[in-house]
Parts: sequence; C-alpha cells; structure tokens
Amino acid sequence: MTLWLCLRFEKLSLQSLSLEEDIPIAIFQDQLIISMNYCAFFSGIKIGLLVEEAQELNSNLQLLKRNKSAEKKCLEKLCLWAYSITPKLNIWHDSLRLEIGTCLKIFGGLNSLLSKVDKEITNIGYDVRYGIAPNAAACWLVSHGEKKFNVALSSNLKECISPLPLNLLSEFSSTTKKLSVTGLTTFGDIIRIPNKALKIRFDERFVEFLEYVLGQRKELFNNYYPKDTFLEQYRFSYGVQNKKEIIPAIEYLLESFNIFLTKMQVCTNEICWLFHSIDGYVEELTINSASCFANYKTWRRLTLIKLENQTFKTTVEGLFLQCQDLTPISFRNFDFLYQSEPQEPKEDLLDQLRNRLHSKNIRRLGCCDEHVPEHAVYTADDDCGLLSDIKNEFNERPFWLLPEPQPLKYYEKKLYWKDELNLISGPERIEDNWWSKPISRDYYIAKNLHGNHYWVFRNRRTRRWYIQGIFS
Amino acid sequence: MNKKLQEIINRPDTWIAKEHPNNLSISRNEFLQGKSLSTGFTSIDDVLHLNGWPLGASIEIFEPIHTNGSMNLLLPAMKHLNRQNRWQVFIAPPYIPYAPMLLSKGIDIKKILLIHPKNKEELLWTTEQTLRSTTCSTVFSWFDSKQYRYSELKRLQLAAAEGDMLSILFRDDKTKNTQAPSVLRLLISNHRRVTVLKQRGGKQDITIQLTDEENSSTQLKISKREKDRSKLSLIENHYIVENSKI
Repeated sequence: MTLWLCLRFEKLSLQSLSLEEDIPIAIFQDQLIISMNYCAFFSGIKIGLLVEEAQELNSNLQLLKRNKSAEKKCLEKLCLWAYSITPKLNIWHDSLRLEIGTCLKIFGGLNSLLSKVDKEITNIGYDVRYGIAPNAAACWLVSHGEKKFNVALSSNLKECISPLPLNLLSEFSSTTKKLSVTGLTTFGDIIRIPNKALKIRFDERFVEFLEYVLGQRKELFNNYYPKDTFLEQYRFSYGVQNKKEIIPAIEYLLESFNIFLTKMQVCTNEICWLFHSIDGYVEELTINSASCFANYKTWRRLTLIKLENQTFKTTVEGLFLQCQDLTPISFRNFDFLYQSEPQEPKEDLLDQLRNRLHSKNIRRLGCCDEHVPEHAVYTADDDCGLLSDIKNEFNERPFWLLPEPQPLKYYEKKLYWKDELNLISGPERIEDNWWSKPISRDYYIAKNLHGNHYWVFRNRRTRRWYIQGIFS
Repeated sequence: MNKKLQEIINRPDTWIAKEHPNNLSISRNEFLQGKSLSTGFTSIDDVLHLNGWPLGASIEIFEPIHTNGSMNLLLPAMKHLNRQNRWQVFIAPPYIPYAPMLLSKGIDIKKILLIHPKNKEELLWTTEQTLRSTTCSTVFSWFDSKQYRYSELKRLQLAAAEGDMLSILFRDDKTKNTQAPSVLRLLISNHRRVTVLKQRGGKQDITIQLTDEENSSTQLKISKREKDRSKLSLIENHYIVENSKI
C-alpha cells in the first residue's frame, strides 16, 4: 500500500531565518507581510499588511526580508533528517513529501510514526501541518485542511480536497485566474467537470496535475538523494579575531556534521575548515584522523588542538566546514561473551599528536631483513608496510643505532669517541651489497673508561673506524 | 579503621615506619599491588620503596649526556609492558632504537612510537598528552639540558599520577641538583652504577653497582611485597582455619 505524508512548514519563511519567539519578528516580500511569529501576531500584525502599517502597530517589530535560499537550505536539512524515516521523499514548495506506506511496519503503525515525527519536528522548533493521502500530489493539498493532522483515503479523497481553493496552485496562477472568472474557485468545482472538457479549454499541465491528485495518472517522482559531500557555513554578524569566539561556531557546525554522518551512515578521516575574512581572504585548516570512526568529541578536540597554532591575518567573517571524502561505515562486531573495559582507541593519541606536531615528527619503527645495520632499521609516519616479524639469531646488538656511522679518531693505535675506547669483543664480519656498492666491515664492541659499551666497526676497504651503536 | 585514614595509608607516597609485612594493613598491600613493576634486577628492587618501578608516577633518570646507557635497566619492564595493547612512546630519543635488537628480546616494535618535538614547549606538551592518554603503557621522554621549572615538572607528575604507566624522564646529570616533584630520582654515573637520589617513602643516597653477571631475568620476578603479601594471606588463612576449629 502506498501512503504519502506531507509535512508542510507553514512558517518556513520565518522559521528558516529565526526561531525566536520572545521578540516580534515579521517577514516581508514586495513590501507585504507574509509571515510573523506569535509575539508579532499578538500585537495585531497580520498577513497582507503593508510594512509601514505593521511598523505603526508595533514599533519594536523586527522586519526580515524573505530569503528563499535560506528556506531551501532549511528544507534540505529537514530532508536529511527525514531520510532516516524513508528513502523515498522530496521537497515540494514549502513541504516535504514522504512515502510512508512501505515503512509503517518498522515504526509500529501510522499513529506511532506520526507521534515520532511530530515529537522530533517540535524539538527542532518548526510549526508543521500534516497531510496524509494515497498519492504525493494529493497529500500536499490535504495538508491545507483545517486540522493539524489531515487524513484522506482513496474513498474520501474527493470529499477532502473539494473545499480547498484553487489559488493554492501558485504555479498555475494564470489558469486559476481564468477559472475564478468563470466562477470556478475550489477543487470541488473543477472535479465535477469532465477531464476532456478541461483539456480543451485549459492548460494541459494543469489537467495532468488534477489527474495526479485523483490517482488517475501516476506521477513521475523526483526523489531526493543526499549529497555525497558535506558543506555548511556559519556567518558571524561581526568580524571575529579572538579564537574563543570561533569555538561556538565550530561546535555548531560539528553538531550538524555529526548528524549528517549518522543519517548517511558514512564516516571520514579528514575535514576541512575554511575561515573567510572580510576582504575575501580564505584560510584553510585541515584536520586528519587516523581512525575513520572519529566522532564529534574527537573532531572538536583535534580542531581545537590545531586551532591553537593558527593565526588569522584579518578578522574572520564566515566559517565553512567541508568534507569531501566520505566512505560508508563498515560495521564492527562486538563480543557478547567477553566484555572488555571500554578503552580509548589507540589512534586517538596519534590524531592528537599529528594535529599538533607535524605528522613527519611522529614515526613508527620498522625492520628489514638486511645484514647491514643501517639498512635493517627504518622509520615511517604510518604502519603501512612496516615489518616487524623478522626473526634472526643475533650476536650482541646495541640498543641505540646512530642515524649514520660517525668516524672515530684513530691516534697512536688507539680509538677515541669523546673518550678513549678499548676493543673488548670481536670482530664480527658483515659483508653485503656486493652487486652494487660492496660493504665489508669488521664489527667490535668497544668500552670506554667509564665502562660504557659501543658498537664500532672498521671499514675493510677504507681502513677507517666508525661508531654505529650504543649499548645500554 | 577510619576510612579517611585508610585512604591516606593506601597512598603509595605515604611512608610507613616499618616495612615488615605484618605491619602493613591488608588493604594497603592490596592497593599497592599493581602500583609497581619489578625492574628485573633484584639488587635494585631491594632498595626501591615499592620493590620495583613505581607506576603512575614520574621517575627521573640522570645520566651524563651522550651516554644513554640506562635503557638496559628498563628493558625488562619495557618487555613486560609490551604485552599490553598500548603504545610505548619514545619522546625526543637521542638515537633510533635498533629494531632487530628489540625483536630479538621479544618486543613488538609495532607498539613503539617515536616522537620528535621541535622545541621545549612541544616536548612538554607531548609528554603531558602521552601521560594523560590511557593508550600508553610506557613513556620515555628525553629532556635536554635546558632549565625546566618546578611547575612544568609538577604538571607532568600530576599527569602521570592519573594513569598507570611507566613514566621515565631522562635528564642531563648536570641538572640533578634542581628541585623536582618526581617520586623517584636515579643517577647513573658510570656503567651499571645506579644511585638513588630521591625516593618518596623510601631510603635515598644508596648506590648500587650492578655486576656484568647480574643480568635481568627474562621473566620478571615477583616483587618482594607481592611475596610478603602471599605469605600474609597464608597466615590469615591459617588463622581463619584455626578459629573455625575453635
């Protein structure tokens, strides 16, 4: 069974700009009031008043010009929220249309679903009217009924839409004007006329729409698909240079980002902050995480760590949060039988360090199956390709390896490295790399006067002495 | 016993006059179990207050610059803590640890992190962050010969006290006379010559000369206190049995 739910946000033009109820606010378009909050309504302001008249009624009235792009963004955000209810939905005028017939069982029936939706929408802070009908076109019309929840089934659909005025259809304004001249002002008036007669006299698209509403023709539905990237902005109403003042904006955008990730069931290991200054200059701050499971807390902590070192050349006017590399969440299984104590993920420390220090300063240790000591050890900034399972039988080996062998002083048949060295063990011959740059060394353990032990070698080709390691 | 008094007695930094196991309350023994880790050298364990490296406290090791010979003392503890799935962090190490040697000792080098801070501020920040993180089992931090304020070292001591890791700050022996809040301060003056400069709750100004024969055992020995505790529990069990007979 297909069943459609329309969520019509009757105060979208107002609530997309402000959810404030304590001060009187009204929205105007073409010098006419089109929406107002309760505070403004109780001071006598009504839809259709001129801006000057409204100001006379309430001198404290805050007037905002209608912003269609804010309304669109608002509906897109609501779509993201509604995407967790059903994957089949779209934006229509000031409404969202959701196909709910296929998901009623999941939510435990229509009443349970409506109560969940209403509770969540109220929490967000929007005023909404509901329309339920067998098709998408009709549910929007039904939402214009007198009640908050308006339900029309196939049996009583005509009855429900009959009293509604035709001028609701703003996209067919020329047709509805013609009809009103002939005395046809409601849907009830039109439904009674045969389709053939309507098609001859009026716009074909208008007749098609009527057929969609009455279920006589199947509507081609443009489904909403969430974007595969995230970009949201926060505009400061004044220039900001103090980092502390930026933190609330960061938190606001991260909250929104977190909702996006949850709803989309995606994750990322990189986000990018763009700081827009008044003169158009943009400063970028990229935050990386070793784990794809980073959440709000982690992103906030990493951002604040990196923000400490950030300096702004001019005042910041707007903040953008951008994320382009999103990957679907891979689910992890938890052990039912053994519940280990929750522990901070190991990657968290890496993230913290990499975002404060440069990632090249954080190294992992690797080992190669090589004879030449300096070739056997290497460091990398991540563990990709690091080898650590090489098992060799060793003679005595030092704890520390010098990055490069350092030459020893050889004077009167004695070796010196800060102090005099005496050879106590060796030699152990290491020869390798004969195919390119042959290496032939005799390694010894040397001891200084304080008893400290060193790993030294004599290059058999150059006959020079070097120190390469320090024993603990 | 009064609960608050017991809490004070339980603190690892509370000094108890006689260290005979019978004089220690059971709860203190239980509390202190796991707060220290045997060094792997009996002669060092014997002089340390908790019979091993104190965990969750900052330890300072002073040695002449460029000597860097003290890691041998820490290898047994490092190996023991390497079993945990946590990082072993080297902050500003003087050289690169020789990976084949660590592998031959059974240390998983994938758990080792080498961090190279650029300056003093970064060194202190990194050390503090790693000490505060629960993802590290061992933190080795090499300080240069610059002056470090008492308050800076106190921050590190407080950070270390929040966790249960082995925290070692390596410092130049020229700075050994400066004040510091560390629980334990050791000086390594010559090869395998260890002097206890300061130890909270224990004896100090003791010098131990490890012989070349005294190498750390592969398996860490059970610390003396743990042995005492097991003896104590045996006595208690015996006492309970005797009472039940009556």
